[in-house]
Amino acid sequence: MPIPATQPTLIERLRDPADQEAWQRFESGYRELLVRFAMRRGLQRPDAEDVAQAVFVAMVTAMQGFTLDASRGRFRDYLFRAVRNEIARSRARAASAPASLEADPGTAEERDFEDEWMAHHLRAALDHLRRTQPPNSVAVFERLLAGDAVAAVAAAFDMSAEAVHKVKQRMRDRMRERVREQVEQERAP
Amino acid sequence: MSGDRDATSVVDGLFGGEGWVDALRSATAPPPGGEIAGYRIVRVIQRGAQGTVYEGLEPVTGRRVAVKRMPLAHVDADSVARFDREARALARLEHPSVVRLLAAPIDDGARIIVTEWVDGLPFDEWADACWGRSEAAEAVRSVARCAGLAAEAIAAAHAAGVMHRDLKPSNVLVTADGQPKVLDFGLAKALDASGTVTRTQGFAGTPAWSAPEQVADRPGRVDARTDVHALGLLLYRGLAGRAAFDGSLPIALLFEDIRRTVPREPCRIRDSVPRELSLVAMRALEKDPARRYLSADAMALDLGRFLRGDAVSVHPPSVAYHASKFVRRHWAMALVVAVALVAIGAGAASAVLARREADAQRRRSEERQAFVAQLVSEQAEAQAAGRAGLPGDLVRRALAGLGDRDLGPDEERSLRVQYAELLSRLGAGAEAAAQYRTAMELLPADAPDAVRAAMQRALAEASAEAGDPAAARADAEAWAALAERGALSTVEHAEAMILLASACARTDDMAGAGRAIDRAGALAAESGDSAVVAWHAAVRAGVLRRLGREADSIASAEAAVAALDGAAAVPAREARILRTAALALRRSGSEDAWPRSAELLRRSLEAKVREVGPRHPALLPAYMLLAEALDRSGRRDDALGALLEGEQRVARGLSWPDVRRADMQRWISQLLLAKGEADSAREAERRLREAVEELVALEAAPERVATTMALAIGCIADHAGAQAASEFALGLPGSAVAAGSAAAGRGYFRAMAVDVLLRSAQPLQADSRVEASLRDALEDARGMHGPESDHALVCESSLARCLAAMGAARVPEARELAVHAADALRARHGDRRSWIRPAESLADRLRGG
Repeated sequence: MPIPATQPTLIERLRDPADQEAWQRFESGYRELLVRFAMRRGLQRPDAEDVAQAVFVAMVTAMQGFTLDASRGRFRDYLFRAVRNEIARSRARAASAPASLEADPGTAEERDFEDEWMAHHLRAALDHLRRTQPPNSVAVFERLLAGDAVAAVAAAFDMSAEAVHKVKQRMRDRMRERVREQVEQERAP
Repeated sequence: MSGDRDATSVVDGLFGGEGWVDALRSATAPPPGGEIAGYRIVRVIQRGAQGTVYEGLEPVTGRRVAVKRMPLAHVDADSVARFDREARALARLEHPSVVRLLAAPIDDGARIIVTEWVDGLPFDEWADACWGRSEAAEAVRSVARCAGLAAEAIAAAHAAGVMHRDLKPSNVLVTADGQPKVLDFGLAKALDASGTVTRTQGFAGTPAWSAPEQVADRPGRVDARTDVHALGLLLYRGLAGRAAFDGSLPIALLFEDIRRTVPREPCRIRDSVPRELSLVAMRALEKDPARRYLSADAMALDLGRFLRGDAVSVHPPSVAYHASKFVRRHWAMALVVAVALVAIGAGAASAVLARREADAQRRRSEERQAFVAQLVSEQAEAQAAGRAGLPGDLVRRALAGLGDRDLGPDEERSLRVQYAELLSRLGAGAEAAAQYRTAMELLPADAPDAVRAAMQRALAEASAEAGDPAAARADAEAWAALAERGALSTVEHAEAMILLASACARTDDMAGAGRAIDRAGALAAESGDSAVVAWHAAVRAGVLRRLGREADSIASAEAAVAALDGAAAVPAREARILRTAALALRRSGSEDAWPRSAELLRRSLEAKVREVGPRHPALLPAYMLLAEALDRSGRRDDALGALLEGEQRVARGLSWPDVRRADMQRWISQLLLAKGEADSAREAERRLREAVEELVALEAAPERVATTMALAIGCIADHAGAQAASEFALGLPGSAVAAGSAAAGRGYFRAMAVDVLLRSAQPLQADSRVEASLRDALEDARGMHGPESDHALVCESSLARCLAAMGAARVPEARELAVHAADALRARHGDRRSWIRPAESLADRLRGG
């Protein structure tokens, strides 16, 4: 697949700690993921937020000049290791669990992170759609997500059931594209 | 690239079937632990374009709340600041028809808005239900009533400087008893830097509820009248059963409709909708903002008229003219004056005359009103943005605007009179007087006496409130002179003399006051008008007291009250009369003086509330007078109660800094400290801090700030010790600067604080740390205000005091600074200013030594 003369991906841009915009976007996008994952691992919200913050701080130094390439693993894995470490540190500080870092992540933990990572991308894609798609479509889509039946939505918006289905499909396709693009942004050559 | 393939296959797998929907649902649900920003989440209510609304529970109280979460794409400092300002203004607004904003933190890259919980239907659903279950006539009234309440809510918000900008049925929930609750005030829009709704992609608002100026090719300004348009759409929807503009149209067509198409009148859609009410809606929907109701207030008033069965107005007078004293007191005179004003093109003061005006004059009048409305909403916006909070700014901008407009003297005069009315209402007496004065200069030489007299009267009364006794005296004399010329009725003549007597008393000319009040007495008796008789008696009581005739003074005051009680109708001046009588009584030396005074002041306050409403800034001095009387009567707790009531009702609602509010804070603090309880003391300290910040923000006179700060420091030293007091003092300037006063300069206030501490009974230890701090302050002040400014001189004196306390070696330098500062201050201010005395006595001491 030809790689177009690329715009740098978000992750590439993070190599430059002075690229405010990239870091802001990164932080605001990925913070929720880290917090949710930490909470899932049993931390209280305030501690989870500390963990997220610590990960970002650690990343700023680590990313400088850091070349994230395929041989060192995916960005996602890197993030996973980073947040795990911070969680362990947080626990150690609270003296609520043994301080040793597990050499291998347990399967459950890894799966949790994958779930949260995917959820992150879905949320981000949905936000993007909310901002860029026609408001009517977004409104229809939100109602469907909220659990309303197609018939009810059709009646509320004075559309046919087929039209509602079409909107749903269109939004689904857009979401899928957007998630792919977002994942692409995590790549670095 | 193996990673990517994994991701791709996961994504494909998810989106291949229906699994993505559930995944998305759980992705957007609140995280486990179910909390957002500390609020426990119960369930999702609604997902919207901007974010999700949840039902939540407040921590600790368990109260039900609505939590809206709006993810922020970018955190833009300007938008956040703007949002915070509006949220603060909104949080202070307490109105039965506005959903109370409880908190608005940022959490996790999202803006969270927490409001009280409302159990109600969106306005459109509620209205439809009304039509479904009631008789048409009843449904119409319910809708009109509800819309009127919503309009009042919007008006209250405008008065507090907050625009809604996104009013639509889903933002107006109506409870079972027809009470609307307006929510979602413009906060979302505050996040959008442009403030307008139009964007090329991704329309952020709900287009069908926008106003023409919001969807114009060149986005126009969003001001109060945009909200009026939205209210019109609301009313329309409630009456007609459908929206005025079709939201399902493609955006381009919808915008075109909004800009150009006049919707079908509701009375033509449903027979049972009365024409008048229909017209109210249509007026609010005028494409040209200048042709709509100029304020939500005006619309609410018209709806009120409809419900009462009165005629709705065709040309609603501007808010400023409603306050016109001409109209209220003397109808016949007002008619004469108004006709004269119309003749010289100044605009009508009553609906009756409005119908007689020529079209051209009406148009001009509307343009003027529009200009004033624009100014008012500019002011409101500026206040909301924290930019300009003082009424003076309103005038300055108006005057700057005048230069741009091609106005003749008639126009300018009429505009200035309108501003003056507005300023009077806002309690800015000095500015109002200045406007009247200029307006008078623009009167043509052949203007009828009646007109001249009316304006002179307005000027004299505003001037009396302005705080410059000499000018007030001159203005009062001018009015009295017109009266003596025979231009006025007997009653007016008497009033002019009464005002003159007060003005003379204020300039210590008791002889003049005596003459004037005697003349007034004769005229009042001649007129037989009990209101003016009462007024005369009250002012006479004050004059007599100044002359030392205590018994006569008391008698006169009581006579005033008696005349009031015996009057056939309650006079407009009731509050004033009672207050004047009370003030005369209180120093009369009789045992009953203060309690009787308190009684009358309470009555006066109530009368004033009836006159201006419960939230008017002019009520603050009334509360304070009442509190003083109660305090002196030994009813300290009641005094505190009165002050807190005043704060609750009035002070909180002021959206700009106000000297009186700062004074009130100070006083409340003193009463709290007198209680001797730790909690009260802490609260007192908080309030004193706020009071100082407020005074700094006002660029209040140095002595006022110094007094308050000295009190603050002294009080804190008393209850928490000198260390705490000095920390308070040294820590204060930073927060004072944060209060937004660029002109104050932190060094200056720090120096003043240190000075107070050095002079106190348990003085602050003067050491090199304090010296360094004071030298910084001096540099600061010199740089900011100039080396010979009051600020710099005060700093010099403080530094001198510190050095002198550090030992003999430092005294020569101390002496030099102290003497320089004291001489310069005395030269500038004379020796009558108490606040320079500390500097003077220090200089004297060091000179002698």
